[in-house]
Amino acid sequence: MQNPEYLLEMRNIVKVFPGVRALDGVNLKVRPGKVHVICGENGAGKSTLMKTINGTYVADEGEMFFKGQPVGKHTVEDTIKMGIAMIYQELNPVMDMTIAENVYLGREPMKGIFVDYGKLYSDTQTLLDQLDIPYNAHQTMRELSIAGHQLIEIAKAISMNAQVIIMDEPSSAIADAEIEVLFGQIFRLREQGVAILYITHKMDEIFRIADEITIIRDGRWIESGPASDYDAGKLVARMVGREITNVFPKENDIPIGDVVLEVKNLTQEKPDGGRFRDISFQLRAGEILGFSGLVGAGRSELMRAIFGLDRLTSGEVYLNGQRLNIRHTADAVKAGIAMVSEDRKGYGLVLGRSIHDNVSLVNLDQFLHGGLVNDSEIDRKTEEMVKLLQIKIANQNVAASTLSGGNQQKVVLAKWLIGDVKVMILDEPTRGIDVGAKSEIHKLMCRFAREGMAIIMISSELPEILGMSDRVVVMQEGQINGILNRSEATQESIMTLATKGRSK
Amino acid sequence: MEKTKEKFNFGKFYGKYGTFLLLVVIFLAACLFVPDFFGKDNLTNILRQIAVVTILGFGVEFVIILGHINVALGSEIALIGCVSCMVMVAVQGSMGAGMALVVSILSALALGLLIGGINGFVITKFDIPAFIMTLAVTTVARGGALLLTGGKPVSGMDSIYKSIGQGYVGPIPISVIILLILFVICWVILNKTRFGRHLFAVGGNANAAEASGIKSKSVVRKAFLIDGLMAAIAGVLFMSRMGTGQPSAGVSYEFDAITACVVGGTSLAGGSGTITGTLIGAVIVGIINNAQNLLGINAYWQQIVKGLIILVAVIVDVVTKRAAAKAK
Repeated sequence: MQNPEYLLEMRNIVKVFPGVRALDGVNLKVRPGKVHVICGENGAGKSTLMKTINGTYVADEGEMFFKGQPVGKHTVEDTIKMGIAMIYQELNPVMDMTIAENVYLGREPMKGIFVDYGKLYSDTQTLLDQLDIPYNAHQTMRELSIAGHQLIEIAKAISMNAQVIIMDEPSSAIADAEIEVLFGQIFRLREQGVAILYITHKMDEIFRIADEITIIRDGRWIESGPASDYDAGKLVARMVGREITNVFPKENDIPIGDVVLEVKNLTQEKPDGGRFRDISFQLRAGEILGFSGLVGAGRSELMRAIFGLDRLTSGEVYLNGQRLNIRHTADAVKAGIAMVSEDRKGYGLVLGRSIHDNVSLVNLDQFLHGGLVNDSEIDRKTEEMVKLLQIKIANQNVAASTLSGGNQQKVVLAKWLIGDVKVMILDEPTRGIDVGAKSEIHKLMCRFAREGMAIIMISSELPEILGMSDRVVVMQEGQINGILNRSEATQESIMTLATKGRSK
Repeated sequence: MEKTKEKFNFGKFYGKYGTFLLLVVIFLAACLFVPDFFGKDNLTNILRQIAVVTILGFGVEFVIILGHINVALGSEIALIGCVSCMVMVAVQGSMGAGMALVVSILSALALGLLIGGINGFVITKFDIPAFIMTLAVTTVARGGALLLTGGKPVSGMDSIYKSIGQGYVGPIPISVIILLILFVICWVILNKTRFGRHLFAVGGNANAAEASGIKSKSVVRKAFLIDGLMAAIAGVLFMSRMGTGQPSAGVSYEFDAITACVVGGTSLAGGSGTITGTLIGAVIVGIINNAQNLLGINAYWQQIVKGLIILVAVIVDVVTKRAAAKAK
């Protein structure tokens, strides 16, 4: 009946949301001291499964066993007590409190009615030292990077004696170099017998850390097995139920035209330090220019400034040889520069409004007649875009918030494409998007390039940079360390440039 | 998930038709239980009574959709209304009553634009909460009205001035005609113009609007200009109905206007709201007030009821939104 060789076991889990069976008979067996990766497309039910385990959701059917003991209905508090901790995709640390205060938030050691700060800080420091996390317990969370926040979250889990730690796409927000730190920590925990449940979309990560793999698709359990039984092709095929021949379908015969965008000596200084300095590059029609670098290299800040979201301190921007004076995004839009932000929900969409409204937002003037908006024209144009980009929606009047990540991203693209775009800036265009939609977006990028658009693509995934870029700009600490041609660009050459260290 | 059939969801249903249903229920209840309620005279009377508040509601609707607020409307209509009366008194002798009325109204509109312009400018320029700015304007405008009038009512306007608030065209009060014209204008602005679309975008997600090339601060300033214009029209109508310029009148009118918006389904968090809803909301509040008067309910109790209405409306908004979000 029970199998104590498993730390955690889920049998035939069913979770129904109004109108959808998010989980439909999922099985999961987690051994101690193993990294167990859950694979599946976006919307496959991975996060729902994790939230069912940790008690955020209550399963409608199925059983859960922890150390061989059946677990009934449980809450998040119950699972934390049992020793199951979850590190969410988006962390919300209290930024202005110290590491120690965050680790013991809500369970501070007390001396009478007062917090025992001495014990709070010494306990935390001991914990950090044990885990080889190189921070001081007195530092505030604001001083730490997102990877740092994750390490603190892991420390917090350990301080609560977690035996199973669930990580939902921890690497999606951090750069490749920082991932090493995270993996180091995961390997250490594994040696201590902690089981890690890990969700990720990145193939290379799966094969680096996975001991065991469970694949789910459309809420159904497909299979589980040791990671050594899989390679990338087989895994993707099982996840999507179809073979994807080329994950990055960059077409190499796209003609490269004249210089469209040229920037010279762009610099942005802020009171708390420079964001970027002395940036110059050229971008040609039909070209995809990749921007690589560690998180914090200043790539997004640079693009925000070119697009007019932030101000430049100095430097010049030319479009087709004409000097632009961009004081607001409206000026950039008028000139034909489009930007798809890395923060889709924050800067891409008005989530509460319909697809119709979002698509028409940028180029509303196209649909104005005598000062009034012609909605049936927007309907037609939106329908056209929905077909062109293969956006999956019931109808264009549904709120943007109801769409999956991939479809949301396509709506953002659609909003720009109904206008005349000369330069398209894409900041992490496929982050958090499932494999199928990802390759569709890559195909669209090739198509835009072929039509003569000049494209800038920031990506923190090296395979994407290598697969899609004609040239790669590598940045570090706000400066360009080098620009590589497609033939020169390799994982090694980029990482070397991105981490070469600067003499100031 | 996007292909699943839509199931019935009370939150969504309520969000769409709730206000209208509420109007029907309250109207029927009033007809049944309040003597003298149902009758042409009383119903026309209700529309006349709500005209000022509804017009203020139309104006503040634009501001609330942006997630801002204006708590100074009561003082603004006192100041603007009194100024229009004083202008009327000052010029009617020299240029004739008809022309003087035009000048009086134009000066009110100009003052309304000025106040709205200052509100929008300060709020966007210094990035301060609209609540604080308009809270300051509340006493500034009230003080201004008392200062200009010496604290005494302004009287002596030609009777043509009173006709705006008290007159009829056939059986229909002029104030109701003005109300309906403004309703149509505001509906068109909100639903059919570029500014209207930008308003919802900025209210829903200012960052995304900015990243789409929309100058969100300019949208905010324009919304406050409209708010100021509506306050001007409401101010003239208000004094005209009373027949004198009352510098101390209009207290808590902003509250009634905001209540009309919220009861009409406008979210104080910004990003959503309709002009039709605000009109219905104002009528609902008007019926409740009227019914209480007819039933002879003590005015102090009426204040308590008013406060509870807005509280319940906001709670319903939050709860239905949560239910709708859960159903996703």
